[in-house]
Amino acid sequence: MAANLRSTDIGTRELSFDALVVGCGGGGGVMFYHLAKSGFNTAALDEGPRFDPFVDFRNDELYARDLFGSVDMEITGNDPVGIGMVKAVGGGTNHYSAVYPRFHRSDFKVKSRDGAGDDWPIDYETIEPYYDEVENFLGVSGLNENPFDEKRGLFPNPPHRYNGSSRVIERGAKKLGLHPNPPPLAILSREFDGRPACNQCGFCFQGCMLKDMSNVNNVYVPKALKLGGTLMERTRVLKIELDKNENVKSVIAVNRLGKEFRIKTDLLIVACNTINTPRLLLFNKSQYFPDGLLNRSGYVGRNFMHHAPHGIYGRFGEKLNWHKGIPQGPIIQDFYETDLRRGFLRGYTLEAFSNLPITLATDFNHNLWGGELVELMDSFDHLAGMWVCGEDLPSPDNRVELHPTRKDELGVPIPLVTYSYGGNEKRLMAHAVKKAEEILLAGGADKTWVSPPGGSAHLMGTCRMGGDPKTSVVNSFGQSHDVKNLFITDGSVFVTSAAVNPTLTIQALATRTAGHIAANRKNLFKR
Amino acid sequence: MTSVISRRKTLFLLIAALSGPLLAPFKRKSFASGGIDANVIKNAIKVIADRVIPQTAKGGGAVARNVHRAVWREIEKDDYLFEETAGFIKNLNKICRKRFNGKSFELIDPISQTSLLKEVADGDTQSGRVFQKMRNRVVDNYYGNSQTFGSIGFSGPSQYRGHPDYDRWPQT
Repeated sequence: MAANLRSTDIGTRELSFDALVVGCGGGGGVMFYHLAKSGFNTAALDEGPRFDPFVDFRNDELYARDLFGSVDMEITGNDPVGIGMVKAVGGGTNHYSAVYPRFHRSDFKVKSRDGAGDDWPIDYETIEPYYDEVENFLGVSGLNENPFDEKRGLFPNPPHRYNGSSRVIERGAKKLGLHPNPPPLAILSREFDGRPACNQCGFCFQGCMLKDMSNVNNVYVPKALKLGGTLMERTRVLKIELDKNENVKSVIAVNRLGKEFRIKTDLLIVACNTINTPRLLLFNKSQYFPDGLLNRSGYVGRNFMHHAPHGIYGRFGEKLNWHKGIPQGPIIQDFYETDLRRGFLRGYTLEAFSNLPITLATDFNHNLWGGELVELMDSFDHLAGMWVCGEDLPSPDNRVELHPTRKDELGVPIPLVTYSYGGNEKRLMAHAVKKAEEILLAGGADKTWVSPPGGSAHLMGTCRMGGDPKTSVVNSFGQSHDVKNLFITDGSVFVTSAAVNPTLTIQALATRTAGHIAANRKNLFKR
Repeated sequence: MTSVISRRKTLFLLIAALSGPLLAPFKRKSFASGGIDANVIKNAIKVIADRVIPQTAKGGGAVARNVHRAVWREIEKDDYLFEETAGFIKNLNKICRKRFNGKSFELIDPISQTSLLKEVADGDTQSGRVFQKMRNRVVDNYYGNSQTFGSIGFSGPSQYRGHPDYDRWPQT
């Protein structure tokens, strides 16, 4: 059955598929496509709608904010920074920065090399071919001259040209002897795969209207539908039902009208993101799993990590028009690896970026208002900006749980997220902010502003992978230790956060998982 | 004819005179926060908007763009927001009257207003959170207004269909 089913079409029929993907975001969309391509009768569910970019998106900040909405959750701890999630097919990839750097070799062996965090059960060589595959599939644009990147081949598309803000940041970084490089971007710099080149409108974060952004909704989902996949929008899974052998046999889903129905499946892929995946698992307590599905180790929901960015802005004498052109600019990874002389472990990537008026003004929350806010905003077309993507070391106290009292409209407890920075993160951030200010001043800025840590959409770590079932939830393929036909393929499987945007790594891991499932189909598939 | 007109006119004048006292019980008041009149809240919002984005030598400013009216319309139609805002303003006025010889917030000088707002509204308190929401509403309405775009050097949407105020390419 190939269909883009509206939730009202489903009614209360009992459905049956070979493979069911719950959550069609960055990782789920990849699984949807690859499993359909491998001949599985595959369905993907998402609790949000599927947007039509040219119809639904607009170059308007307030409109985009309402469209992408916010998700009800409570965030506590010493540093309850905001968390950004999008309830829609494609998830956050509908309006992300599309910066697609690879992890470094050291990111997979942080414990062995630096004595912090933990080691992944895989290394860079394991995932390298999947990085190549995803980059070539999406037509990632970039330049392979980053001296800090692992050795790699050419990008499928050339890099984008810089906008005004990016040029002054490159100037400042080079003046300090640093190595700015064009960011690898999942945004087309020339026509590719039937989609146009980016028209440099500068509204990536409000949703790409022309489909030159290579995201799940523009690439993986249409291809999966052509291969016979079934997409169910505005449909949510509440219960995961197991048979007496502790294998998944079916799920109970609910459509937009509140009607519940059963979907039988031989294979379940959970990819609801780092907050909602543990939420779904913890909600599914049973006689087999009294502490939540897959939670025999106690690790479901633990080790929540994110990249909560400071924005650093500089005012220049020249007009930069930073809102024109691609907002994403050079990345600087000179401070990526551990150097104990800096006083902290691991490191960070500095990324140039541009902001639009409301996003810039609200970046400062209540810290800036009155004459100071007006001074910043009146300098709007003379500003350049950077943000810090700093490694967040895992801590079991940073976690996602079910809220003890507050529930959503379906009676499911909302997520309760507890987060506090460790000392390492604070020292790392302070160093990074200072470096960013130095770069801006070296580039010619006469004044700088630093915003408090803002919202983050880089969410990782709550169902981490590992070889030991006592200290992890899934193995290196995302297959759960406890339920053999249940896989997790989103950022929750990360062991460490690295200091780069996570989407490419999520998609590379998912591609590897899909290949493993296809190769071992007979063993995974028995009822 | 003359007597009909003057009777009609008299009736209108009577209605106009009595409408104030007659309608007073039905005018919006904040109940949970001890009956603050909606006009008090409206005036305070105007002052706060002016403090968040004041007019400068270049002109502009939240009040000049009627941002306070837009913020009031948003708050007025949401009961929870209305009560929350009323509580914040009541607290502000209480401190003000104690410190400034019985004057309410809107009657003290702008420098004192700014100073008092900083004291009451910064930080992780209930007042701080309410002020942050109000600040963000002022910011949204001001910098989301296409009339402001040109004054900060923002050329607006790149696709003309991109903004509800535009039906053609933006003129800047």
